[in-house]
Amino acid sequence: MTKLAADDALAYSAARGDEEAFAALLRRHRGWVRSLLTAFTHDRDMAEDLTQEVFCRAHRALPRYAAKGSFVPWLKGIAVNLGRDHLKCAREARYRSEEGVDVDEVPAPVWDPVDALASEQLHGDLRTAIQGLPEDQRLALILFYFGAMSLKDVAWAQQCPVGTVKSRLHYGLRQVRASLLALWTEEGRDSDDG
Amino acid sequence: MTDETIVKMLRETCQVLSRMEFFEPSKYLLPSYNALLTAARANHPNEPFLSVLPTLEGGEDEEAFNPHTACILFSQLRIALESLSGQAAPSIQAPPPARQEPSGV
Repeated sequence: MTKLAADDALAYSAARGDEEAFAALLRRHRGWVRSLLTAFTHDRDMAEDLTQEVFCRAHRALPRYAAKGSFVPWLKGIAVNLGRDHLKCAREARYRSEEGVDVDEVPAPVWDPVDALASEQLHGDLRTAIQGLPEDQRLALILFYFGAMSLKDVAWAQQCPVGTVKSRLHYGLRQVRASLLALWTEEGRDSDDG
Repeated sequence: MTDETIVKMLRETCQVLSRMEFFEPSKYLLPSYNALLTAARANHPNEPFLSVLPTLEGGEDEEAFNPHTACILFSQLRIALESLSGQAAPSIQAPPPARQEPSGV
């Protein structure tokens, strides 16, 4: 039996209440799910918690899983959605904190690649240039460089092919450079005039 | 040292840093960062992007230089190198060129 077929067979059994089958799926796929969520959260404990949540959701959704040898993409979809929700919540929590609202309810900050844009270590002009990018290019650039994610992980996070991520990074970098050169040329001209 | 080597070292360092906890010491990477920046500047002496990036002093606050901030600095240098002249970076292949609109039409 191939691994894909074995996954489907286990999923079929698990959907009918076979806990051993579900435990086997968990043992088989837990590692890469945790790695994927670590790439999102950069926090091993948080990734572990989210991994548990992914399998809880998978357990609940198993009866609706159409077994066609697509268990891994199906599980990956659940994990990516959860990872994205986590990033969104972390960002919203930070904005609430900055506005002084609900501070007590804000969870502890995690290492979110998006935080890089607010870091003092980031050169101000580069920050401006990155913020001026279209959203998909900006997110790809942040996840790839500041999140140290692989092209494949960024593609999962953005729900697009790897080739699209490469394209976004290529044009994003080109745009960043063009913005910086334009800015510095303008500043140089201003200082010459002054 | 070629740009490709510098970028490879920056990428691998960031991958390690991204798996480190925020409290783990990373100040020992300061000399590496400075050396890579110097090597990049030597390859591109007139590059404005590289010239604005800071060289860091050893007296930086220990807590201020955690793995996260270190990763930002290394990534920033990598972006500067990979963005150079719009050429395909070592780890990013250029997408197929877009079809040009005929000029003057």
